[in-house]
Amino acid sequence: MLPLLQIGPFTLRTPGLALLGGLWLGLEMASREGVRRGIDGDRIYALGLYTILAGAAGARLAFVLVNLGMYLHLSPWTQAIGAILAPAGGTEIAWIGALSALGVAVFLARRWKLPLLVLVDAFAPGIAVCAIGIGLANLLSGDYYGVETSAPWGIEMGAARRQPTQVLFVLTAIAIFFILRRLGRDPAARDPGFLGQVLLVALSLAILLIEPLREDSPVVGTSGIRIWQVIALSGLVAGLATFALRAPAAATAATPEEKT
Amino acid sequence: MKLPPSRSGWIVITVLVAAFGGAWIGLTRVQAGEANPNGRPPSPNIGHPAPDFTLPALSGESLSLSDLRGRPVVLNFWATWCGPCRVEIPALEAASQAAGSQGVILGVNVQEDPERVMAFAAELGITYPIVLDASAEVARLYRVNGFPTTYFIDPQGVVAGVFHGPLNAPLLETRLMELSAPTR
Repeated sequence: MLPLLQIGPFTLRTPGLALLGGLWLGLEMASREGVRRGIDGDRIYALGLYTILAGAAGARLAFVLVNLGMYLHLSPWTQAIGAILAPAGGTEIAWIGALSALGVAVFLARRWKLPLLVLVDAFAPGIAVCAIGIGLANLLSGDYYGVETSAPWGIEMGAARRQPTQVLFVLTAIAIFFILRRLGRDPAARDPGFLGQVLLVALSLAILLIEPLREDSPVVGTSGIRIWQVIALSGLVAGLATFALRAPAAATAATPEEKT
Repeated sequence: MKLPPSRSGWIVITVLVAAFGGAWIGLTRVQAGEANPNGRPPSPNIGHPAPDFTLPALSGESLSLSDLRGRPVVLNFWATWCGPCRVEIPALEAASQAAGSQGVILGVNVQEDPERVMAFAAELGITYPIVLDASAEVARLYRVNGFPTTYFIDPQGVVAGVFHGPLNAPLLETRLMELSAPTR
């Protein structure tokens, strides 16, 4: 962990820097991919920025709604609102923030007449880069930390040796990024939206597998079910379902004549 | 030549993944013992026992967090150079006065000279206990990334909440009420 970096009289909050770096590089990546796919890079940048702002605003609104009692002293009602919006602590910030971001992204894409599926492909590698930034931010801040372990690959955090969940997440995000780069080398060779499908499946699978190694994984009530695994499995099934929807009704082998 | 799965092939894959994924979630769910705060390791996360510590108080004696068991504790990490900390101190003092013996506001000053802290406390009229974390060991234990950071600890010594930024009176009052409510 290195949450604060002291440089002379200046104190830098490294998790925030890692997050900002990931977002900026991700946007830059998306802009370049957009240009390769015939979309104005500036539009991509603007869409990305507005989406991030909408996500942050939506997440903040979610936090206020869930914790309304702290602001308005309406505890019984606000506890009910909190219970509806937040099946497990902190999840309201994530899913309402994500919905806000998605809503604004779709609205702007339609308004600016940008092809949605091509946009998804342009953003996919950038989202993987953002995920790397998020993983690094967690590593620096100590969040998303693993269960205690005596395994040799454990990392020292505080007084305990723990599963390197943050490192696993970063490595997985890096692998996803390179897979997307390789698959997206020739945009014309893939159906629009293909990279988005791969990103959804890969990221969901990663979260589904890494989450049980987390010590601070939020659970639903007393069920013990990890909420992020449920979300990840939903994403994974949805991603695979899109492959099913786009697949031909019956598999056919191309003959040499058809290939030429 | 390798054929891509047909639609029915993808449907089969999807159903199998859903089934195995559901089984995986069930197998890896948090067990009852682990969900019990008493079975969890001390950690500055919600639902975990708050890590214990002993620090010298501004009054000269030593104070341990475990000494305060049985009452809700508002554990506030701060520094004199922190503007938002200065803003929230009147609210913390008022909450301490209102709570009386029913709750404790415990200020943890991080890495500052005791005389400077003493002068600051006198200037702002702070009467709640302040302990000195000279080496920032406790701040690191509680993963404090910025000031002010406040942990809400219930009478059983379990972390019930964490707040980053300056507190205000309604928020403090609400959280202390929640912490003081009898558990079911």
